[in-house]
Amino acid sequence: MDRETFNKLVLDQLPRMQQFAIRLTGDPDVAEEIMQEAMVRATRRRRTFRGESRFSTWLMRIVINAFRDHLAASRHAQSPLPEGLPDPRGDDPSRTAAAADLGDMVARMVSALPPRQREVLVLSAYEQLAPSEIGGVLGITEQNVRTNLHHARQRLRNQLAAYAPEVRP
Amino acid sequence: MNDPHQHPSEQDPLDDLLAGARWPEPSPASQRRLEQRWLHLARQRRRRQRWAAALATAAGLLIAAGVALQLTTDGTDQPGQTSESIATAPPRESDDDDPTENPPAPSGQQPQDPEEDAFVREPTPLEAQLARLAHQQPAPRKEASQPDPLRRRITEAIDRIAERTDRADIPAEAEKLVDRAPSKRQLQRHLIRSARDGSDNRRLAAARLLAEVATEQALPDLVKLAEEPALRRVLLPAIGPLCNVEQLAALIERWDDEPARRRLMIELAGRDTRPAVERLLALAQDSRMRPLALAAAEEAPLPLDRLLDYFDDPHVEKRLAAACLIGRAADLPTLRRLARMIERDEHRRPAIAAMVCSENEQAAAFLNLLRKKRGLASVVQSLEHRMKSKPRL
Repeated sequence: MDRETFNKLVLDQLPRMQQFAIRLTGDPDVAEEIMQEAMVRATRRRRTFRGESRFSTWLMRIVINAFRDHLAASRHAQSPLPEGLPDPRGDDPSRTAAAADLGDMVARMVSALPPRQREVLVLSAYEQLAPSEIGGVLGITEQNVRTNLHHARQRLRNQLAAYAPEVRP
Repeated sequence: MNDPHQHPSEQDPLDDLLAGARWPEPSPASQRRLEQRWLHLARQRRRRQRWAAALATAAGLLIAAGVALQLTTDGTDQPGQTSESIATAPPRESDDDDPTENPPAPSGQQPQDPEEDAFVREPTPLEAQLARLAHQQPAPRKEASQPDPLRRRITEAIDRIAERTDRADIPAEAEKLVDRAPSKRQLQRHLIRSARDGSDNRRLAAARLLAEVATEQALPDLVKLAEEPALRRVLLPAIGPLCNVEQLAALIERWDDEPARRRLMIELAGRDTRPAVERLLALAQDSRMRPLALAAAEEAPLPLDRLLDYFDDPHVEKRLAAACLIGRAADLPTLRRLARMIERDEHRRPAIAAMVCSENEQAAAFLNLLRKKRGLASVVQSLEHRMKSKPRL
């Protein structure tokens, strides 16, 4: 692929990748940092894109690697509970949930999943990739993808059950 | 969005919730910064590739020329004859020790040191600055055949200062000399000569006078004299203001002398020009220089408004370097300004980073409040971690 086409493709993909990074991190500022690092890596690895996968998945792999390095550097890999959630043990969980924005809350819960589960869920639910493609992006087996996806959904169900009883397993 | 191996045909309420998840949108400023950064990276890459292509072409041409020369030599040489091409052929390995075989450096070009020869690399801008300073012609040493009045007056002033040391009124002595000298240049020349030769006391006295009267023309001599630590101390107040930004940075890198570096860094940090701020930010991103740059930020009249403009820079490292410098220099009005920026979500992250770098108690109290705010605690935490423990910003 010639340089001009490559530059244009990256530019076209920037908004999507930025949104992808925001979903992974839950923080637009951190996402911007990750994107900056990912862009530097993309320029260095241009020749590794040989057209065997979609350009967007090639770029996602780079963003994910930058995201993992960021986690390793900041040692915030595990955040047990998303920040700012209303306490489900409060007086009336359903009322609290209604008051809080459920959409915001779900987003924060997704972005607080363990990193691998988060990656799999975001790629599956928001990037609409098939398990085989997710496996290719993350460098894991399809079975591993399914297992992580199952655990991620299970964890979300448990956390959300107090606010949205219909998701109760 | 169903879990692929769990009831794929049923509509799972969890999928509805996932579809309704709402993340914060990236700000237009953030999108613009990313685009700018990408365009910058693409341009940088293109320039590098052009350079590589040009170098490869030049190398190819050189090899071709060498081969052609060799072929010509082989074809025209006859036994017993000495052709011109042999006389101009490059020296053989066995001739390496013969100094006459080494071609002289072309005029205007400085001889390189052996390390440079080994790697044959372009000097960096800083090295070039130092080389220019070091190789500028110092004031010529003109031996006076008869004592002129200026020389006599300088000698007397130096004597007075050398005798009285700390009690001497250097500015007054210097002013008298300037008033009576035919030109400042001549006065500098005499003082430089006196600072080079003589007893330590007299040289020091001459250097102190020189620091009072020095102009830009004397800078190369000042830098040479300042290689001597005792003279450096008295010459530094003159050297700093006379240096341009690149010269300041070159000396900061070169002198392994903490107080001198600190003084020069303060000089750099106090300059309200774009090149100076760019250089300061570069030094603040260098883990070796960062403590020095931050310490200087506390003492220099930092150009805060110019630094605040960098909160919108496409380079995140530069944004955070600017934030850190501002944080170190921040007084109460600046902290209030930063707090307003955070409250309005205007360059929130660098503004919080500045607060994190500040050693002001008010900043610490404000950060404590932020830690209790939904959505900001993790930002504060991650920036604290980044700004305080990472060697690079």
